[in-house]
Amino acid sequence: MGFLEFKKVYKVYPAGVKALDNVNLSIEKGEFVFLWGATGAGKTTLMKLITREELPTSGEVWLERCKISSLEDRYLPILRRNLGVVFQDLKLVPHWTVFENLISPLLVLGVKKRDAHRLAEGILDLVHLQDKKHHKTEWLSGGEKQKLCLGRALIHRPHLVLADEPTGNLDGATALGLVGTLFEFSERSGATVIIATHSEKLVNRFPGRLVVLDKGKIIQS
Amino acid sequence: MPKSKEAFHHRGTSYIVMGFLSIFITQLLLNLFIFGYLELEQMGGVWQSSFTIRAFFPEEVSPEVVEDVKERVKALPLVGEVKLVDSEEAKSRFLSYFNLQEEDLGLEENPFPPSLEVQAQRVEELPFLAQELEKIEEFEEVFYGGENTDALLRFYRFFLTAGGLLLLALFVFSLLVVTTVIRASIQARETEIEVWNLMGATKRFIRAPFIYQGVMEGLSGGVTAFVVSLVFFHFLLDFLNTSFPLFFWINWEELILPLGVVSILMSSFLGFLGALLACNSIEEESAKK
Repeated sequence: MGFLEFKKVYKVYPAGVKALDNVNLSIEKGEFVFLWGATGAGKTTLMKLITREELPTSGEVWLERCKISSLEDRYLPILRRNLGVVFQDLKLVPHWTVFENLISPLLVLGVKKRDAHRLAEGILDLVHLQDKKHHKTEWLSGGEKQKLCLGRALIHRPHLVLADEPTGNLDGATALGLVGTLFEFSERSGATVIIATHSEKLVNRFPGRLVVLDKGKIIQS
Repeated sequence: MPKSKEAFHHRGTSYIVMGFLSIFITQLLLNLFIFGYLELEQMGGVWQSSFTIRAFFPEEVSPEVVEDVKERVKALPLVGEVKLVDSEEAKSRFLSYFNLQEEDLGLEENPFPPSLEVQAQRVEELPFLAQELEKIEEFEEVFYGGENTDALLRFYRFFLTAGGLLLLALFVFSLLVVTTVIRASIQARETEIEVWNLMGATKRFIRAPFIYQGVMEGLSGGVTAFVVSLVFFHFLLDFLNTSFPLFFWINWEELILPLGVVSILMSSFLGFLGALLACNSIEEESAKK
């Protein structure tokens, strides 16, 4: 069994929209994967099944031999603490500072303040936000918010990083830099990274596995 | 280690002020009730000494029987104090009451029977105690204040019941206010809660700052109400003691302990319970979604 496994997964939303149609997918530990497809192909739904923001209509999702599709709600915090997620809509708290948003996964993990500060300094350097450390998040530009979200996803060194359209509103160079950071992180830490994107340019610039989704079906894996 | 209460360090001031004020006002009203209740208890104590059951023996009763009955009465559960009034004391009381001399009576023998004067432990238990005494065969007659006493007791009971209900209503009202305030506070922080959930925060981690907020609001409201009440009652009792010196007013010092304990315990408990209920209801709502 792979590190992450989808077995005959279907997802139909209440309005009858079929988001995923018999998805079978296996991803190994340390893989760098692009989940490519047009808008509405089912990329975000697939990601949400991993974070357990959504449940499959039928089928199974396994992560590290744990069937997360039937995980009891009380175990969700344990699952989520082991994920690093760059959300499509960022999920940053606008009135918190950059630093406060950045260390939120560490607070949840109960990391000591001194260690949290040290880890935050390293990540701020990595995502080039050192000079914005004490700025309110709502004052940041779109690109800076994306970087902050990336930093927050990596700060606790997760084994699995999910990035849902992380380059959505970014210019080419910034987008490449951001995905480059994810690629380096995967190389260095051995983490599995899954990037959902509709950008062909990005997919072609980085070595990695390509999984193509179309209308909820995997047509290339 | 970072505390989870730090997780929500940007709490809205308006919600904190609302929570504080609601508990403060409720606690002030509660303190007023406590004052009234204690004053009533004080008056009850005064009534207790006035309302005494008199149980008369037959004239020919022997001193041994009287002693025996006295001990039996003392052992009854509702009894406070028991005093034996022998025939001689009964006669001298009669003479003194009507301002007469013994010769005025012109009696060879003392016709006044001995009696027991019995006080109840609590004034409202007087009629029940009188019924108990009537069951003792050795008594010829049992008297207590009758209609007047019953009327006063009815008033006393009504006051306690109404006060108890008022207290309950105030508690529920206060709980509703605190719950509503904390609920609003939680709803205003939906974004933070969603982010914490996605970061893998536990229920306890997310609840902790709201529970902390509830308890702190309760505690600060309660302590403020305690101080304000004490100052108010100090001046009120000064005024009442000067204006109505013959009435039995409670001592200001006697208020400190009950008001302090109730203010601090009740308000922090209210804050805690309100926050807990608010967290539960929000969690239930989000689970339904």
